[in-house]
Amino acid sequence: MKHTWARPGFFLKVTKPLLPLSFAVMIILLCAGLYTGLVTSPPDFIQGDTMRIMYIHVPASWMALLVYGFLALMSLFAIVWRHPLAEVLAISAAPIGALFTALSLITGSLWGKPIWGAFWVWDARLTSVLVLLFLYAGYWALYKSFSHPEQGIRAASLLALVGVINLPIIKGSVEWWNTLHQPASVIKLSAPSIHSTMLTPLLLMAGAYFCYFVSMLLIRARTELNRRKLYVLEAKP
Amino acid sequence: MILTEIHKLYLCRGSLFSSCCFFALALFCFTLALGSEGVILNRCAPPVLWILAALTLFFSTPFFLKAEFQAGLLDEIFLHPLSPSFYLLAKIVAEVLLLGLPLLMVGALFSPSFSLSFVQTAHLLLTLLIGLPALSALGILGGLLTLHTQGGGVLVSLLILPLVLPLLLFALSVMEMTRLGLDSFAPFCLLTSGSLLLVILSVGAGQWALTIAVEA
Repeated sequence: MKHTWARPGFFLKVTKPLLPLSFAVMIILLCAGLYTGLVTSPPDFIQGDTMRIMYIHVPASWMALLVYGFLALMSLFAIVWRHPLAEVLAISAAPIGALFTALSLITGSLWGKPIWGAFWVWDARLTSVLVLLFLYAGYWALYKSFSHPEQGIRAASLLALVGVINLPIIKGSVEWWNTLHQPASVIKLSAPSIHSTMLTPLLLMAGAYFCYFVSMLLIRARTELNRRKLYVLEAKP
Repeated sequence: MILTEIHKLYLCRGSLFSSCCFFALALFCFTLALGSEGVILNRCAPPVLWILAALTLFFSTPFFLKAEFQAGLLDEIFLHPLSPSFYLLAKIVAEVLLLGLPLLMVGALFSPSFSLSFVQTAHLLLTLLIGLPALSALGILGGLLTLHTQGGGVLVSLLILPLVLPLLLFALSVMEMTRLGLDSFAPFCLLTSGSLLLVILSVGAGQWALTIAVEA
């Protein structure tokens, strides 16, 4: 039963209507999030309007971690069951995750300049996110350096799995090393320590980022699947 | 098994020698470039030695693996009754003995030129000795992953260096504590456990990488 779901042909058929849907939801959420975040939400008591970078920065960091988790899960499927769809999804997710990581680092350094007084400090969280960016870069470099993509995917998947040890380090870095970056205020067991007027745009933006990830992933995965189809058709006669 | 690995590595003694020479020459360049001020040299010595040792291992290990693969020796491992992870462990031991120890000796030779005291030198070499198995294991993992590519040492460093960072930080905090005359036992334990964890992780992953490399 579950194998029907994972068949590439079925995937192509199902995702065709899904793609415009997720794209539309992304536009709506993005407009709503930006409007509530930049216009209606109150400025921070201490940081003033600078705090509004948070609505771009924090969801990007969440997505950077989430996409790496997705990449590692798909890599596990690709190594253990050698499923072609998992391979396609993994290599489609990697550049999007790298984009989110870069966005998080850039907006973070723009935020750090007025608040901390420096674009970059060697704080534990910043360093571990930079390492995450290098892991994405290494994954992509290893995948691209093989002349046969199938071999490249298997080697790169193994690397992605080894890199998973960085994820708990990023999450724990703020609590284990008491450094400049503030600890989590939304994702924790007790109630979030952030007022609902600020939480709403944050969650709207996170939803928009997630829909962006889904739509880009679908576009990339469909392209890759079609390219593989063409490759097979070309090789046949 | 360890003896065969040492023997195999000894066959590449030319490149072993050139790796040691690379390490020595790079250290020499650093002492020249940093100038003659003892304070600066003293502070820079641990990171420089650590990074250069890591790079030397990452550049040379893929070469040995490639040589072995071309000789068809990697396929033989699967005919052996023992698990391939024993082979990887034997390889790590051989590499630490034949490449790691000469690097340590070169480092000890250069320690006066970095104006390190005896205690500092001893601690630095001890951290390196603890870290070497992990560095070698990661180098082997990287070499196996990139066996069929043209990338070589630079690609291996890109893949593996992010994983070495925690080890580097713990080793440097040991050296910082030693420099300030404090008790450096806690980071020492962290360094040792980190090194062991990396050896286990990369031997486990290396077994899979070996299968992938040989099947392909």
